[in-house]
Amino acid sequence: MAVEADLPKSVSKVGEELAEPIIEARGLKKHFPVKRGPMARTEWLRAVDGLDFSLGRDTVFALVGESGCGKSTVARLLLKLLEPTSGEMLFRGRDIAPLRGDALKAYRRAVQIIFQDPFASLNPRRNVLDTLSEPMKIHGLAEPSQYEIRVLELLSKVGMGDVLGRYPHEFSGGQRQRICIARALAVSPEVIVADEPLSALDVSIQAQILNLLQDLRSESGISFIFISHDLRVVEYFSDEVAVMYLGKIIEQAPSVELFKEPRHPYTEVLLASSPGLEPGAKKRAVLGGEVPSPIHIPSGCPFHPRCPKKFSPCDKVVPRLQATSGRPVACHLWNPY
Amino acid sequence: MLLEARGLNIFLETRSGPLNIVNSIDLDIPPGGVFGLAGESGCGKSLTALAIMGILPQNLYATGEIRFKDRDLLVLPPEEFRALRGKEMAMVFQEPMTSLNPVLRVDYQIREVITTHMDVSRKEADGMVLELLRAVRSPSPEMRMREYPHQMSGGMRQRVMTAMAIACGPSLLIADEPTTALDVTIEAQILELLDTLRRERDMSVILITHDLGIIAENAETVGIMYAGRIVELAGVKELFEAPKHPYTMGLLRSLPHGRGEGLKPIRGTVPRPGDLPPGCKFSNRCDYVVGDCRKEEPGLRIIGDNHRARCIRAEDLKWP
Repeated sequence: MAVEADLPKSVSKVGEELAEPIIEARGLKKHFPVKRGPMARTEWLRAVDGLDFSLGRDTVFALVGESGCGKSTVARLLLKLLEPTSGEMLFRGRDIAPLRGDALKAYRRAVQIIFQDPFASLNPRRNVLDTLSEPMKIHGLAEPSQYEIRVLELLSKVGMGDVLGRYPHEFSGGQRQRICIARALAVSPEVIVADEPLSALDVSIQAQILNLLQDLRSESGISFIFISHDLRVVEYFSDEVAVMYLGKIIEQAPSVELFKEPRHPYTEVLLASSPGLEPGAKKRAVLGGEVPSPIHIPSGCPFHPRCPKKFSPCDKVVPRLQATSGRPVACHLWNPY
Repeated sequence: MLLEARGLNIFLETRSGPLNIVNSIDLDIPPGGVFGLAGESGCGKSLTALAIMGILPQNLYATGEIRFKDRDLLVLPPEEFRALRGKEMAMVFQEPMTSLNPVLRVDYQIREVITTHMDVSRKEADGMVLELLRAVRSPSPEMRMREYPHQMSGGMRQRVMTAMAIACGPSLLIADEPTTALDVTIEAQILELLDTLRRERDMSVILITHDLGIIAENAETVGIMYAGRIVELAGVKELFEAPKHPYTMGLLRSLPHGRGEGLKPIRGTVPRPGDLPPGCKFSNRCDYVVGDCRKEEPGLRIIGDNHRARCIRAEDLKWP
């Protein structure tokens, strides 16, 4: 566009920076040892089994999948609460594994988390002022005399008033989740990992929190890794969606395309399994079987025992996440093996 | 009617006297249908179910009338109620993890229901357990019946719960959030199972859930509860196509439809039972509130065919 040509150089440099991912996972794996009984041989639970993805600036990247697919392990790897078995997690192009001391502290400031259960993730013995000034104290972001003012600012950002002296038990679930969000915002992070932030809340409160996250996103340009099992919410909030099954991404696409045209048979079933709101509409598709244990991942395509469209190569050849047909899908139907 | 409730009230005993938690519920459950009861946490939907089953916690009590097969459950002697409960009416709970006994094998737990209500030998009972596990589509039931709950997945546990509930062929099954703890694909399996069993065994189902999607898909008649009251009662089609109560509208508008379209959450939070506003209990959060709303609590008025709402402005409100 003509406008772009007229922009000064520094602006186009910002544009370049925009394209560079903030967070990138390369061949990320996390296997946990499992030993059943003293004489048993150690088995490996492959929670995350080779992930590649990248998170751009100002985007919401959603990880969806059923319980046990490894999405929360990814969140913990991202926060460096767990060390990967192999592969790496990059923050602005640098591996986070060797980070220690000040560098780690800076990373922790840049990447914050909101947990699922706002009842368990606030200290019941600390009032709101203590809870929200703690991050500023740790990272030296404000003078102690400024704490009150800063905390009040944070609270107003999340739609709450002067509740400085109150304790978690005095709040409802939705209000607690607002406090958790304020706590994440206290250090002006670049990335927020939101691990099922709505699932403990009632529908009407979910909508309030979702609106709040949407506002934060457009005002502050924070990127989100949004982990959820609720596809309606994911469709509403995210730009890019990765569907996980047994530790692997099996399909990844911009949200609009994924919901319009799911390609992997699992994604199709997942979308068809969430109930619509039209009474008398077609009954949802029912997928038989259950997710196998991540200790004994089926051979070939991990989804093949449940897949309604499996054919000869599926139980032997592991499909790779390839974009042969324009979008990354790990399925032999889309990528001739 | 299989089950009729009239003016059902539930009170919590507190130091400062009884606190009304569930207020004048009227229900009509015909034989062989699915009645959906929906609302957010604390609205009283589960307590209503517990009152019907006669298993309210000690500090709660119910008044009014609940007629089940022409017996008034609230005045039924405990022995008679015990003979009824588990046999003619049964319940599936939300948490299959906590509602199964962790130290007993599942065959024991299912058999216990059978031997309590039926005069059968151990061998016959074992056969029935196997039959029930087959009926709930359990894979390899002979093996499964010897397992403990912790060896099972959430979906499998919910199948066992369901097997226990249908063991004596009840005519009423209350399912309280039967799929809330489960993944979507498993949720779809369990709901399909409940629907099949209902048809095969000619049961009525009261389906309690917070998920309006599940209601739309499964229920024939729906009651929406708020602050211990039924605020809207309608056929499922009427309710979703033309909701008449502002709370129902608010719930539907709170759900995301597609990408980026603005959500309109209901403002504020649910008031505590002792702290309800005067007049209409939703008036402090309602977008359509007028002066009269705060004066007197509206009744559940007939608005149209198969449609009632507890709102004085129900006829004026436009949807969407």
